[in-house]
Amino acid sequence: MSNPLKIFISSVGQDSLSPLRNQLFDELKGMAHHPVMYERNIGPWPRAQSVQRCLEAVSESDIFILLISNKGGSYYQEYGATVTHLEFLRANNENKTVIPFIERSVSDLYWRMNSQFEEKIQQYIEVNGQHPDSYSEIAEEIWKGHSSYPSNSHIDSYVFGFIHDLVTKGNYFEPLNLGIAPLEKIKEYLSDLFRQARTLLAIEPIIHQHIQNASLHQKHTEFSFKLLDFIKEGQITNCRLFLAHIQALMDGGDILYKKGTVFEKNIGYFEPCCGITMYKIFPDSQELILLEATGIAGDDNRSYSLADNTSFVVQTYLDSLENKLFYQPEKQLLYFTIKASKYILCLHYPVSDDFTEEIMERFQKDVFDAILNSESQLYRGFVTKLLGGLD
Amino acid sequence: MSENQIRFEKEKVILIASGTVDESKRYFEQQNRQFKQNTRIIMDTITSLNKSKKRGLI
Repeated sequence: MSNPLKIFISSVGQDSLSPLRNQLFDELKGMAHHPVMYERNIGPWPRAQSVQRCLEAVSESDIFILLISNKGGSYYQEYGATVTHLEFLRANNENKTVIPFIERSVSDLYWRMNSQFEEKIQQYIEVNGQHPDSYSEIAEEIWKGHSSYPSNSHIDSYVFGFIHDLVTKGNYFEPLNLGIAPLEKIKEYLSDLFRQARTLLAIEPIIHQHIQNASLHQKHTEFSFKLLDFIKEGQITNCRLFLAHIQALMDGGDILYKKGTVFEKNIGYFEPCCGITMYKIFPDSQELILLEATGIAGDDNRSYSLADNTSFVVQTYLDSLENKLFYQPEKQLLYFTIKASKYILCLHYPVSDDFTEEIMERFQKDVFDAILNSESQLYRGFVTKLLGGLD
Repeated sequence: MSENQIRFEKEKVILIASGTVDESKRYFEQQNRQFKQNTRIIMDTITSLNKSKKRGLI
């Protein structure tokens, strides 16, 4: 089912604008949009609730069409603005597409006073140390002192303050002819919006992917700073917390056979890392000493002699290839070991019960790739570099 | 498991695979390449949209 574009039609409820509002409402409805207008499908509400209800309707809309003529409209002292102005502010704050139309004679007069607004606002800032909350007083002062005021006193000064607010907030406006609803211009705007939306929708999957990537970068940055907090003068100040932070980001994942091909098949999974041990070789020593064990990793093996060729930790240290993957069938655990200069890390990953020695042998490359080609590898890569630079 | 598998810890632990640090950079490089490519596509799209905006100020 289609979800039509909601278009809020906003203006002062003055008689001269009523035909335009109604014409716009009917035409937009005829174009299968969903126009929203106080007197047609919002009200009536008690006065106390009507402002709030109008603002909610603005929030629910996608497009905000604003018609400005000579009247400022009902001014609400408690808000310091008219209802129409409040509606515009809501639309602006919520990044709605605002399409303002202003009666040409009014906008022409505004532009003749624009520089005075700038001067008066500057003077206000110099005296009060801040920008005015509202331009209504400044507008009144400028308008009532303007040479055009006597012959145009039917134009409320508030209108000029409102227009200045529109301009200040970066809105362009179109001329309004009170005899004809600005439908053609609105169609142009909607067509342009449609073109922009189509262009953006075409890259929607890329934007989603980019958001995920950005979040990954943020996570990596936070992780890096956290780990660096534990490094002082080339030493790890708290091995337990250091490893705990690493373990928290070592996720599990699916193990896929022939990943990325038409033959891709899920052959099992490995669970998030359940424990880490960290060993270090000290100068002039022939032993790898256990520095810390986290999670459910045991600390039974406090040290390994480099001569112990039955130890996979020693094997990792002595081999030229820095990453190794071992399998312990009895415990259904994978040990991913990392050699980083004088340090050896051993990450323990439980593996799904459907793995056997035979399956592991057959799919060894897929299992290794599943661990290496995962987000966690970004963090392991950083840890490897970091440990490689320590004493 | 075949007999040519290397075993440790009283035959209980089996070596599955070995790799270099360079191999492990693959994921990072792939992500980084994709990130840069996506940044370019999004930036180009936004730039072209901004260029084509035609709104007049009366």
